[in-house]
Amino acid sequence: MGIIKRFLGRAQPQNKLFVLSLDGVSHSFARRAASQGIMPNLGRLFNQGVLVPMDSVLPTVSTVAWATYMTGVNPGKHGIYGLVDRHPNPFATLIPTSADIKAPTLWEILGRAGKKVGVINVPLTFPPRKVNGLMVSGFLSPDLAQATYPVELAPRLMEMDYRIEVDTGLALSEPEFFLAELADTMARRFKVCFQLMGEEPWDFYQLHLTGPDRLNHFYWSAWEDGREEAGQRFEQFYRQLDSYIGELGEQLPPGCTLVLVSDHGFTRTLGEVYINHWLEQNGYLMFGRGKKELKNQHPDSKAYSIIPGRIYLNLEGREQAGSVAQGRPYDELREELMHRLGGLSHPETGQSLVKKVHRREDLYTGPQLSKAPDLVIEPAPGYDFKANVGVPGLIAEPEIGGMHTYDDALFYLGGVKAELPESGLDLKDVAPIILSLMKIATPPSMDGRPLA
Amino acid sequence: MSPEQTSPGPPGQPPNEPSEAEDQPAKPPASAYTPEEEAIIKKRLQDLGYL
Repeated sequence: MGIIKRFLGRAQPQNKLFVLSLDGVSHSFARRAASQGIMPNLGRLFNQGVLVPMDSVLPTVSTVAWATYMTGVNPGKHGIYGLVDRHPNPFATLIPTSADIKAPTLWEILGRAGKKVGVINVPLTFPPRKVNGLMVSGFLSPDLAQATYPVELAPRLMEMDYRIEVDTGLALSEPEFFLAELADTMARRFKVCFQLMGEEPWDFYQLHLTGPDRLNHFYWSAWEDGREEAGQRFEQFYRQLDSYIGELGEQLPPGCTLVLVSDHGFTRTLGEVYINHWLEQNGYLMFGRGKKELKNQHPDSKAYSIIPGRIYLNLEGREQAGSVAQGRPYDELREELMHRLGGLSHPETGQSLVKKVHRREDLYTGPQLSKAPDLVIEPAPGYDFKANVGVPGLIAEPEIGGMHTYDDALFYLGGVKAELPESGLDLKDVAPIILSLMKIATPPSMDGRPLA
Repeated sequence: MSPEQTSPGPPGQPPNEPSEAEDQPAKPPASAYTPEEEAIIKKRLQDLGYL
């Protein structure tokens, strides 16, 4: 791992740090947008700081990613493995919230060190935990009234017409309305952020934008295909974002360190892969009488999947349909599935659908390992692993044109003298880096590495 | 693989699951959401392709 650029900027940091987190903005897209003049302010930032690519986390979904970012530990320590998780016995699906994060967060650590924080819209911050400052929870908040710490902040945000989330159900059916809402919601987030930043002293602030991720999911392929109107609207959003980045530069106090970070890259979706269909067709997943659903598995069912690409064996003593004995039967079945899943290919093209299948202990370590899936499928680029049951085939045309990638997230550092590794950075490293920039010791429990 | 890792264990050794199963509550943990709130969140996740 080599050291690339050193930013020889101002050498007197004021120990204030602002994070603009850009959900789904890939390193390669950011470089392209900057170089092609779509985002000139971003380009100027890149010339004044250090930008490197970064790896995400597996499975590559926003809540797992941002939990990893905010704690500096792997999922085996923070305990978040997906936007949806399961309680194995009795089987139930559940939606993890901030209450399920089992490691201290960046803002909690900063607060204990006496730093004042402001955190807006970061995923997996609902319910909002007490912080030394303020917090506005992200898109897993059902409404604004419950989304803030302190609670008195909510009425103010309502007056400012702040929005938790756009209605992505309209993304394809009402594109004009959706795109306008996306732009408007982003505008309101920046407005609220600038307003609140100016009201009270702070040491750490983070504004998270989910708009890029939403736009990319529905319009990435249209932009790549060069479809004129959709492509123009796609670029228009990023031009607008760039204008706010320029304004942000004017709003930040002199000497403030600026961090830009994303949670994953993006790519065109080539197909949706229904892995539970494959498991059922190959005798691993069996259903009982009645409705075909995961909570109604036959006692002899051996394995099932939760989105995206998480495989759970029906382990005796753990799962509701625990048919797989512990020890050798578990190990042998898991190895068998690893081998077979690793060889999955498109039934028509023969293209590999799987980049790699990981055992949980090869990805995760820590006290939350027991919650981890037994296997995690890392998809080949473009293949989005779903957990639908009762579908007619393994592959279907995608309904959503863009999907996440594990690689190609971005990390940018500006306003401070720093060196960053050319490669090998991942989301676990960001919290330790931020703490080191703010002259706070990295907790020994963090897996990530601070700046040298 | 270090001993302190809570892995499924080498062949023949049980994974660290029985104590987890014994300690598991009979019911799933209480949701942070009311049924109506959960429906809102599930729709958001569904629209994004996560359900």
